[in-house]
Amino acid sequence: MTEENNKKTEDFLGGFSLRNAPPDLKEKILDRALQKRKTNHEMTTFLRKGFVGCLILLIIVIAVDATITRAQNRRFSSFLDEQQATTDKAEEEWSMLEDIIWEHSDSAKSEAKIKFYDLLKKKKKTRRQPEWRESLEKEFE
Amino acid sequence: MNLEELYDRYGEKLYHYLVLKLGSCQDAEDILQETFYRFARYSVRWKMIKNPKAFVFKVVRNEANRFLKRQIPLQKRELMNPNPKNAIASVILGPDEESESLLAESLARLPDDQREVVTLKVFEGMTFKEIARICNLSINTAASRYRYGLSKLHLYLEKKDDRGK
Repeated sequence: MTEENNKKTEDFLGGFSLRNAPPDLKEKILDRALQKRKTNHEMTTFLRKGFVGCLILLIIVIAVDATITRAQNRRFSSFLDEQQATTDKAEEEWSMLEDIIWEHSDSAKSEAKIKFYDLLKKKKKTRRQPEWRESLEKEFE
Repeated sequence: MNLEELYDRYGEKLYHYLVLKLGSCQDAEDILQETFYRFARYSVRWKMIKNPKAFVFKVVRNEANRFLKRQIPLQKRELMNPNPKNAIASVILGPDEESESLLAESLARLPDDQREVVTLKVFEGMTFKEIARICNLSINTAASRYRYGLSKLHLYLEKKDDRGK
């Protein structure tokens, strides 16, 4: 029964066909499609150029930043090295002076000690020389 | 195959298919334009495609489905397109105006998936294999949708006939 009905319906549908599409449809569809492709192509080109520009700018910024950082590091490290050298020299001199104090710190020589500290104060203000030790020792002698 | 040749071969068929699927001439034009834009943008290697007709219909179908997804919810779609019958009637050519209107109304009442299979089979003369490929179905499903569609059409047409008498 269903098969028969379907057959009838198929026969009924067989009497129909499709109308022609509107005559200007072809031009409308193709023109719009090509226009859209053109617009999008222009947009894509613009975006691509923008992207390349941004990329170049980014590379320049990174390069400049790296150069500046390297220069700063160089300056900073040279400054630290100088300070380190000065500190080392001062420490060396201090240990030398401590040795002298240690050697001459008998109770009988308190005066010499005071003199020594006075000298020490004076010497701190001036540029210290390795010949100190000798001069100080002479003083204590 | 350039864009013009492509249109000459399949343009009208695609337009009819879209009107029958969507029930709107305006939407059909928009989607057809979008599809041709895609063909213009991406150069298709036609020699590599075994069945260009099925391929073109599948591309159009995918575009139409994307369009329908954008129109969700369904109520919104119905508001935008309140009378698909008129659009369907505008592409059907029958023995007389009355029968055209009758068929258009019956087709408009069919569920979308059944209407699609019926129109591809009846008006485009496609095989179930081609329909199955286009609609991502098995051949059996395509055939059963066609049978169900015909049964429903028969019921609608009978009812209309009875009322007419």
